[in-house]
Order: sequence, then C-alpha cells, then structure tokens
Amino acid sequence: MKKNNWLFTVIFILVVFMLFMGLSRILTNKTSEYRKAEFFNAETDFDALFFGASRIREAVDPIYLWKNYGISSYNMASAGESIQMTYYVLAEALRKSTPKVVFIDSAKISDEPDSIDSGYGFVHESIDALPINKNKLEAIDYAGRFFEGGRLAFLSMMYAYHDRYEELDKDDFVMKPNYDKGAYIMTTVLGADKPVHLTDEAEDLKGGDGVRYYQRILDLCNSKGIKCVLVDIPVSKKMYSEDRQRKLNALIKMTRENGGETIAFNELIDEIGLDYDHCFGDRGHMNFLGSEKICDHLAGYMMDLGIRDHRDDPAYSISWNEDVIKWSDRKVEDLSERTDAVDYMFWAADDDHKITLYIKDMDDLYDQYAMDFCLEKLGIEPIEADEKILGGYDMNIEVRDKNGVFLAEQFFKYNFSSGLFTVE
Amino acid sequence: MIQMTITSLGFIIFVLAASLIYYITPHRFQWISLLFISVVFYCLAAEPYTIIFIVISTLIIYFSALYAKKHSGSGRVAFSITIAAIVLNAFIWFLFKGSAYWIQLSSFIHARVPAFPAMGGLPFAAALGMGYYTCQAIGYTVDCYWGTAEPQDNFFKLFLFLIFFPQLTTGPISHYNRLLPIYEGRVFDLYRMQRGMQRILWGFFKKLVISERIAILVNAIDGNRSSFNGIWLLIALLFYPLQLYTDFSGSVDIVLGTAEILGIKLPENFDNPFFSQSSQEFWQKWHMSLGNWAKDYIMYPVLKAKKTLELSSGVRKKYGKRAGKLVSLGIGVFFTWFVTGFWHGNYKYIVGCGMLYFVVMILYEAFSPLLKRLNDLLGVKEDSFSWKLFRMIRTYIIFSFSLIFFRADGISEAIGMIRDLFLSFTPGIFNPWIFFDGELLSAGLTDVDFHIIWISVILLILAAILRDKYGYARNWVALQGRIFRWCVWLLLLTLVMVYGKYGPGYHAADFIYQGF
Repeated sequence: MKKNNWLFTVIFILVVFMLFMGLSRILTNKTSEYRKAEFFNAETDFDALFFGASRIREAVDPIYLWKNYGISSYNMASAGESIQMTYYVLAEALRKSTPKVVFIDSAKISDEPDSIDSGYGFVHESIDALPINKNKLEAIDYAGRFFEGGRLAFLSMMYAYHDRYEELDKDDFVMKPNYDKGAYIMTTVLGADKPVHLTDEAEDLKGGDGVRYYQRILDLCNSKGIKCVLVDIPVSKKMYSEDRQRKLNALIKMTRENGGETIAFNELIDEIGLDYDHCFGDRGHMNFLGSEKICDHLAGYMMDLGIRDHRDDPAYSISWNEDVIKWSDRKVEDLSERTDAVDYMFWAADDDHKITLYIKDMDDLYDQYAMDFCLEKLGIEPIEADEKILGGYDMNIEVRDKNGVFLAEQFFKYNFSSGLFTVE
Repeated sequence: MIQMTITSLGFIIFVLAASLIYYITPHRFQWISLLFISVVFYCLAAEPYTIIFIVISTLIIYFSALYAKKHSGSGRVAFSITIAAIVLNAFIWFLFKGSAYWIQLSSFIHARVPAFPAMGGLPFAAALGMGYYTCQAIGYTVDCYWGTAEPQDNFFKLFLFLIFFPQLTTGPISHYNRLLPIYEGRVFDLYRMQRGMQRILWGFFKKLVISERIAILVNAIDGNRSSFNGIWLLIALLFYPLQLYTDFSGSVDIVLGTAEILGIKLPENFDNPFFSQSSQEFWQKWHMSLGNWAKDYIMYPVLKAKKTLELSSGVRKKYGKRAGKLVSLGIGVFFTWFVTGFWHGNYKYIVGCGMLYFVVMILYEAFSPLLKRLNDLLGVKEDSFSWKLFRMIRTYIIFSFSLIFFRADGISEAIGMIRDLFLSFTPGIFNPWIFFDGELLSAGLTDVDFHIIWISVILLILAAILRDKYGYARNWVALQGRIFRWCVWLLLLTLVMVYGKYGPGYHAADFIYQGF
C-alpha cells in the first residue's frame, strides 16, 4: 500500500508536470517562435543572416533576395531588439548555420552603462524562441536584471504569459507555420523627408553595455571567420540628428578597426535610387519598395563577396521554391487583415495574381495618398461600378489567380475625414 | 532581502528545502534545524538586524518566567515580574507597530500647541510579525505566571516558539502549550505532506485568483472616489470583506499548510465566518487566534477581576440580574474590543474594529429580548433558512461597514466614506445603469474577471459547506476515488496557474494582515 502511494505520487507529479508544460505551451506568446522557428527547422544553410531591430526586419526581404538573386538568407531581426539580445540571437544562430556574412542593424547599439535599450515584450520576442542552453541562460541572466519579474519572467513561459487567457485564439493551439524567412515587409505607403549628411565627426564611445556587446559580436564573427557588416538603414530626416550621426561614425570606425565592414544607406540614398515619397511604410520603417532598393544593393554587395546564385541548385531551390509558393498562399490568407485599400493591393500583388478594382466614384479615388501611384505601379485600371457590385460600399478589390480562379475580395468605405478607403 | 512573500516562488522553494533539511535531521535535533530554518527565513524575508527585537522579547520572557517561577512563593514578586515582562514587550511593540498612536497624537497636539514637538517614526524597521509574536510572548508570560505552562529552561527553544517561520508572516497567534510539538521529532509522512500541499494550493487560490482580482476593483474605486461614486461605493463596500477574507484566510491556509508539511498543527484562524448569524458569532469565527488570545488574556481576567465582580454584584442588587450581567459583560467586551482594535496599530482600528463592535454587541445584548418579542409578533420562523440567510447577510453588512475603517486613511476619511455611501442613493448620484451599460468594466476588471470571481465564490461556498460537514473540504475530497481527487486538485492547480494574478507587470499587493 505504501509503495502504491509513492508510485501514484510520482505519477501525479508527472501529470502535474505535463499539465504545466501543456498550459505553458498554449499560453506562450508565439511571436518569437513564429518568426524564428523556420530558421531553426530549415533544411538548407544560409549564405547571409540579418540581425537587429525592426528597421532591418522591415528592410530586408529574403524571399525577394531569393526570387531575384538566388541568395539563401534569413532575417533574424525582431522589433525593438537591443544589440545585447542581438548578440545572443547571433550566437545561437551561428550554432545552427555557417553564413558567409552577417548584417547587423546599427539602430539599437546603446552606449549607456547598465541599459538594455529595449522593452520587456521586445526582449521576449528576441529570445523566447531560442532553445534553452547556456547561451539563452546567459541572455536571461542579463535581461532579467532590467525588468520586473527578473530572470523568472524570461525563464518560465507560464510565469510570463499566464494572463494571456483572454487573448488565446486558434493559432495558440495549432501553430501556424511561417514562410516569410523572418522579414516583416510593409505594404502601406507613406512619404518621408530625406536626411542630409550632418557631420564627419565621431563621438568618443564610453564602452556602455550596447557597445560592449557589439564588440562581442565583432569578436564572435572574427573567431568564426564570418564577415560582419554594420548596416545603417535609411530613416527620415526627423530621426537623423547630429548626435545620431556622430555615434554612427564612431561605430563605423569601431567596426572597421575590428575587420568588419559597413553600409551606411543614409549616405547612399541617391545612389540606390530610394524614392522618399513612397518608400516608407510608417514613420520609422521602410516598406516593400524601400526594401527592394536595399535588397538590390545588398545583393550586389554579397555577390561581390562571392555568394552565388542557388536558383539552379536543387539542394536549395526545391525547398526555397516551395516556401515561396507557400508564402504567396499565406499572403492571400492574410489579406483579410489588411484594412487600407493601397495596403491591400500591394499585399495581394504577385506575379500570379490579377487584381480588379471596382469604384463607385472615380473622383474619390485620387484623394487617397499613393493610390494613383499604387494603381500605376501595379498596372490596375479601376472600373466604375454600381450598387449591384458594391452593395453599400464605395470600393471593392477582387483578387484572382492567373487562371481566373477567385482568391479573395474586400469591400472598402471612403472615409471623408482621412481621405482613405478603409474596411469598416 | 529577496522576494519571500508566501505566494512567491522563493517561498515555495524555501519550504521544500526546509522540509528536506528538517526530515533528514535526526529526531532529537529537529527542533534545532527548525530554529536554523526559521532564522534563515527571517534573514531572507525581513531586515536581518530586526531579529534583535525577537531576541530581546525572548530574553525578557525567558528570564521573567524563570524568575517568577523561582519566586512563586511570593505572589507579589512573581506578579511584578510578570507585569514588567508584559509591559516591556508591549512597549517594544508600541514603539514600532504602535507608532501611529504617538505620531498622530503628537502631530495633533503640535498643531494646537506649536511648542509641543511633532514626533516622527523610529529610524529602525520593526521586526517581522511583531504583532503576532508579541501576543505569544505575553501569553507565555501569563501562562507561566498562572501555572498553566511550565517555563521553558532552554532559551533557544523559547526563541523558536517566537520565531517559528510560517506564523511570522500573518499569524496565527499560538498558545505556548499548544505549540510544544515543535520540540518533538517526527518522521516524514507522505499523506501529511500531500495534505499540507493541498492546503497551500487552496490558499494560493484564495489569494491569487480571488483576493488579488477583487483588489483591482476595490483599489480602483477607493483610488478615485470622485469618479467612482454612487453604486460603485456600494460595490467596494460589499466586495472588500470578500477581498480581506480571501487574502487573510488564504495566507493562513498557506501558513497552516506549511506547518502541516513539517508535521506541526497550528491553530485555525477562520471557521466559515460568513455563515455567522450574529456579530458575536462572527468574531468567534474570524481571526480566531487573536480572538482566543484576547478572550484568554483580556476578557477572562477582566471578568474575574475583583473590581468587576464588585461592580456587577452592586448593579445586580440594585437593578436586577440582567443589568448585572450586562454590566459585567460590557466591561469585559469593552476591554477585549479595545485591545483588539489597539493591536491593529491605529486609532481608526480602535474605532472600526473595536468600539463599533463593542457598541453593536452591547446594543444587541440589551435589545435582544425586545427583538425576540418583535419576531414573535411578526411570526418570524427562526429555524427557517430565509431567517438564517437574513441574519448572515445582516452580519456581513455590519462587517462591511466596520471595514470602511480598514480602507480609509483615518477616522475622518472613514466618516466621509460612510456619508458618501448614504448619499450615493440620492438622485443625481445613484447610478444603477453601470450594471447594464458596460461601465462596470471600467474599474480594471474584464467580464472574464467577473466570471472568475462568481465561479470562485461558488467554489468558496461549496468548500465552506463541505467544511461544516466534514471538518475540511479536503476530507470530503479524500473520500472520493483517485481519478476524481486528481481532477479536483489538477483543476485547482490550473485555476491558480492560469487565472492567478501574479507575474511580471503585476504588482501583487502584500497580504493585508502581513503589516501587523
């Protein structure tokens, strides 16, 4: 009887453990996993990896690099990621992959002592998907110092996310695979003011946490014989202060002294042909048009480094081409999340898709920012339609495949105050 | 100081480590390991230097009890020593936990007589659990004087009686004789371990799922009474007792469960108080260890005092038996409630926790014949469920009103709150539509939170009914088949893990009774 009690106690503890793990799994915010799992499960290796915060995440599209240059790459950046967390993500990525070059975003390299320069949720997004090992524990140990809840908040998903019970949806129970190779390409269109070069002076770096960790990144790349490239992604004039440029100059100097290279895109705006009227998705990030320009330049740089086109190499092309098709299908599935007409059309745009636009009043059409640009770019001829097609709406956009099979449609209302066609 | 509140992960790990150390220690040394564990807990949970105050209290009661015993032949010497020990312990408590009395009083006088200095608090922190262990220290001294307890001749054993770690946080207040088993050795018992953990889990459920959730609502209302007026004040009034009960009894469940794991039975502090049909009964079931302490060391000595007996006898002769009883009871109840209120450490508690109940109980006692006659006249069936329910609700409401003094910053604010509460039913302020137009969700709780509260309250009532019938709800669960038992505990664990209010970004309130 006594033996039985012990046996059942052990079984009960196991059931409790399984319950804990199961609930943790369901309640965990899947953003990090959604973005990075594809990398850790990839069958092929990558020639290039991109690291950093949202600027580089939104500016580099590995699918574009594959489709146009046959470069196998993955964008490991995540929103608000500080360089300290970038170091740990890079260290983990280099255990799995042996890229020829890594690109590091210059946006979040702080020179302040005892500062992580990132938010609690952003740190989670950076490291949640990393497997538990010495590297992740070190990341947790570092990040835990800066946030309420300490290390436990990054170690236990139950502790961190148990109060997500009101946000759970289907994706929390059935993990949705992702095929965007880590990028987050925006299809909204905004204009921005072009920055101007302000100074050649470099500030004296104090060796704050961010700079210290950037040095670790340079050392890590050197030790593995990987080219490390510091990238300064284009920003609007408002964000381009003299202080920012002085710090960037110092980081460029530091990178070169350590055998790395740099690409300061804000100095190359005209050279790469960035259209500042249409290349931003929001105030701080590039959209797909800006991304294409960045990717074209980076592709040229990589090819100069000797990275070759894999499109004819079945070891790469089979899985990459499959993923490209799956990503295209996924984009159609996600169309319902697009609430702005321009964003909807650019998101739906694909070589295999035909977009038809029905409009109640042609005059309204050109009030929306970038609408004419969008129609011209995609070669869409709007069709004036009546109530029969539009119901009570002002616009209908229909997406069909190249065989004319219906894929999706969305109805929009014209909003007089904002001058936009939006989903109600 | 690390995070060592009794709902923290640190505490759970500490208890498991403490159990391991305790049970692998040879029996005759187990009390020493318990003392070691308690001192380590103290240093982790409080300012370590404040342990000196517990050492001082132990020294006072240790030497006074032995000295009083030595001079037991001379009643006057023993009495003087005992009184000195009580006064010294009470004085240390008064310096720290009773500081609000002299700070507020000096400030009051200073405002009127500027020459009188306004005093500030002492530059030292109070010891953890000072309110609780001081009561135990006084109780021990009195027990030794009365001869109902044998003075402990081992200083460290007596130190363990005061510093035993689970009860330092929120009590309960133990009598020395009933805590003697802490000095005994015991073997590990799996069943006892399971029972202790079940009780801890139930405590976590009360605190993290119910109390912390209600706290969001009550704090939102109390924090912004100009916006949350009318019906909101009534909501806070009626929810706060539930918050306090689940907070306090939840903490006691964790404390008692921890002690149970170590094989030590501490006194219960609650016995389904909200099933009480009168305030008198309520206080026999709420914070029972303090009530019993006050009864044993305040009320009975006062009732037995020569002067009380003389006065009672005089009134009985002059005004009849009932009046004599009422006077005797009145004196006993007055001192009991005064000390109970005083123990809470602020004037507002003397009024809210002490004198209010003194008045309620004396009035109830005085008018009970009249009320009985009125019931007969109205044909009230006193055995009926409806009448019992009415009395329960009445008791709950009286308690809710007394707790206004807990929620308010001072007596004048409490009076203002009571005034606002009555004004909330006047036109222009009365706002019952908040239940229907979604405004109810503007005080920090979502509709899911409200559903969790309702379901949890049903579980509480169910557990209370089972407790009435089976001693503990756990006893009933233990009678069921294994699968059902497992489902019950796994469900409770799931509720705590998922719906508990803890984790980063959430500022868990301290246990309300941890401050005493």
